[in-house]
Amino acid sequence: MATIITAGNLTRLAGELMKAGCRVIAPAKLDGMVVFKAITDEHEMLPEGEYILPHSSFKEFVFPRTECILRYRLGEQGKVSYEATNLDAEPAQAAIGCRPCDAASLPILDKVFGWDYRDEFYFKRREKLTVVSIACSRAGERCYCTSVGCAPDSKAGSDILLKKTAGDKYVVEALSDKGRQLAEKHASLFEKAEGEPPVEVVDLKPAFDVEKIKPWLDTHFEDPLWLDMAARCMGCGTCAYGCPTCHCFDIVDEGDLRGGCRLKNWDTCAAVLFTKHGSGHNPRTSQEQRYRQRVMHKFKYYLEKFGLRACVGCGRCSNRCPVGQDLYAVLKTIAERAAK
Amino acid sequence: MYLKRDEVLKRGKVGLVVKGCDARAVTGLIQESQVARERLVLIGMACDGVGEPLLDMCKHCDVHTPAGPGADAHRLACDYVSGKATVADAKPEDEGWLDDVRKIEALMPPERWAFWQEKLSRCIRCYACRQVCPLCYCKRCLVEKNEPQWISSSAHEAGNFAWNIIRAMHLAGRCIGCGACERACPQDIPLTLLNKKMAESVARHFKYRAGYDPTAAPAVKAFDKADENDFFR
Amino acid sequence: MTATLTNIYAPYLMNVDEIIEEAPGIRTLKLMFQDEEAGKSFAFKAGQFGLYSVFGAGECTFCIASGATRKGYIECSFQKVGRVTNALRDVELGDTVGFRGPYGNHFPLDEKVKGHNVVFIGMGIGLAPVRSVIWTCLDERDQYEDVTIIYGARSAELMVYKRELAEWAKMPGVKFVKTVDPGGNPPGWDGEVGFVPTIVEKAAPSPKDAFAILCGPPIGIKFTLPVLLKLGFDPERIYTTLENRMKCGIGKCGRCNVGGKYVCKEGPVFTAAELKALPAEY
Repeated sequence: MATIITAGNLTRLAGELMKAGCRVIAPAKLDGMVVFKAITDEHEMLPEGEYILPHSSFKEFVFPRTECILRYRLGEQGKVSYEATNLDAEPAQAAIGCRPCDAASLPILDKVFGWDYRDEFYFKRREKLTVVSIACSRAGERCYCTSVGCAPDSKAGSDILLKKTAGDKYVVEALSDKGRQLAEKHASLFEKAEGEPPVEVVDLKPAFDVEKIKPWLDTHFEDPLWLDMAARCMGCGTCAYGCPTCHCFDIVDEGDLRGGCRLKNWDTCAAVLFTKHGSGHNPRTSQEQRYRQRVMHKFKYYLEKFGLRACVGCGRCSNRCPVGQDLYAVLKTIAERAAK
Repeated sequence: MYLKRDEVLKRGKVGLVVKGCDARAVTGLIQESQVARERLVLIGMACDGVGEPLLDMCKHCDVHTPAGPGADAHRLACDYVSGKATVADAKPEDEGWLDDVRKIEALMPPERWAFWQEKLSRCIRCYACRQVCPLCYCKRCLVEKNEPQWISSSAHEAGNFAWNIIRAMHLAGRCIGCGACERACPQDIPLTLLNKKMAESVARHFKYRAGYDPTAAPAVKAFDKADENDFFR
Repeated sequence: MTATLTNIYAPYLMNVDEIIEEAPGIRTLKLMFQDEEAGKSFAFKAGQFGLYSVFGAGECTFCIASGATRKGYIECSFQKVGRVTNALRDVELGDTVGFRGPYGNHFPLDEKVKGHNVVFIGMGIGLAPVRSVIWTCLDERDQYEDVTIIYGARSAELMVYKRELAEWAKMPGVKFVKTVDPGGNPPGWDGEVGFVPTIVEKAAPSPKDAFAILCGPPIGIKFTLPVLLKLGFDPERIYTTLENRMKCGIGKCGRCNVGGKYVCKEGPVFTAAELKALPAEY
């Protein structure tokens, strides 16, 4: 017996969740773009057929672009007090209609935010998040999830995975306790179907052998490829900020003479000042070094340290790059060179 | 803009293929002493406009064919020019390029405020707009200066307003209207609206349009005791 | 160590208890914990670092410069180079500053160095982390064999911890060499004149049964390491500390990465052998 939800009931699910005080994050229109948005009306949620991949990832809801980590007050005679931000009052949140690649970014981010020191700013939001993803029945021009070991129907990070079946319906697979609880709580929206209804999942063939990437990187820290690839890179943060797994940040104080906030802001390894020391020394002065760092971090260092690649193959970096730099093409080149 | 990069400069003379609008950017850089004309070999390409559909800026372009050798001293002369555009240059009195600015100006202040609030709230401070801008060449941008911190580097409302407005101000009388910032913006913020408004103001008050005359003093650098504005005296 | 605080970015509040003018532009602050209990339970190991903050200006990273054997307070030495260090320079006695730490690994005194000879090499303000190890070692002098300290700065005026240098020079069982760069020697200078690598070569501390602990600017480390190797020091027994730019200090923000290493977690202390295996991005 399979569990089924209709597209209409999925919209209703969003509505019921919102009524219960849950923040619902769903693909919605913003001018000409489809973005993840904390919707206020369930009809803002786009039908799954109208998008392949939202323009930006939903990491913003677990790792905001800017967030206050503590509020300080400057008192008399140089005395200071502060209040650390408490996220306990954050509402429960559900991401509905995201893609398996986005969901797969969560177990990747869990690693860095959880090793040794546990970053509660991330985890409080993460624990309150239930992920309902929909397997892809179509692939975008720059989708390459299968090339980096992810899949259009990957289960990683999802609490519920939906797969499209005939008649605007989805086969429901609850993958975690959170997912099962959500399905039980809103049981009236789900129905049972006999047997195993056929599902539509896009057959996206891997374009290169990802296993070849790391061995090549291991031995090619110095290689003319880096300059070739970096020559066009403009050093903006578009790729990193759109990437569901990029997680670098900055910490700054902002305030006036009475007090202010200490903030945690997104940052990017593509920026010149990212690594510059107080002394003026900069370990990575050229775009070549910075671009190499980005690729190495995702496909070598992260893998060595945390056992996962920091890439889900969503292709957002390529889609968004103002100069058409395509990580997929870079990886393909590397894999081809490694195969020689 | 790659012209200012160390990797490029250290290789010696640079050959650059330019459309009319690119030549305006180069003009700006020459005017501001960022690149010496002798370091460049300019290959001008006539252009009827780019983009499908045609970019709005191209519809109002008045430099379809770059100036070649022998052009008058007040135009940047390319070393070679290839072809001739088949479309006519826009006339100086054509104000079509300001249509979208007029639309925003027509809004009531609260609506205009709401418009910009919504647009600028999207900014993620990736600085793609700055990185692709041919005229943004500072080694250390104002937003990266923190003694004092002139502009908040955080992507919240105050920070985003400060950044985008100051960027527009810094490009006033300098922006050549290529629209690269808006095309690069991953958040679809209509950045050229701000730049066009600035360009219009500079043209009106200072009779200056950026990127045409390599011998002209840039608007923000020019000082003339005979200026009609009394704050100059 | 796993932090018990829920907010891992929340600092201890510290009182500025003493301000010592070390050299032009360089100061040492002695910081006492406002919460006495926190001060009592606070412990660190020589080589560890922390993030010091002036509220409103931000945080910056330095090693803890006081000895790990000295309880109840910490000291940091800094040169004013940017926004936070400038603000730190403006603090007055009794002011509140923030401190998060201790973070990172440490020089393995208890684990390895005890019972052996040790050579300390400091360059400029890079003496700060070395000073922490020196005091930790000298406070338990009987547990170490021969101790050699070599310290160099651009000029006599720019030397830090001047009164302590005199103290070390007089200590029995400590061989102390100080040097300044050529031209940095005032009339009546009683130390060596020459760059640290040259002076290390000249002083030629014996590598036998010895550990070397050094810190200084990247360029100083770069030129001193080959000298130590030439003298016969085992690369596994040469320790130095990296000062990459950091923001979080706890392996999250990604800034300090050198190759696959988080300098803030797997460093800042590295052996010469480990450094050699890293890409030269430090």
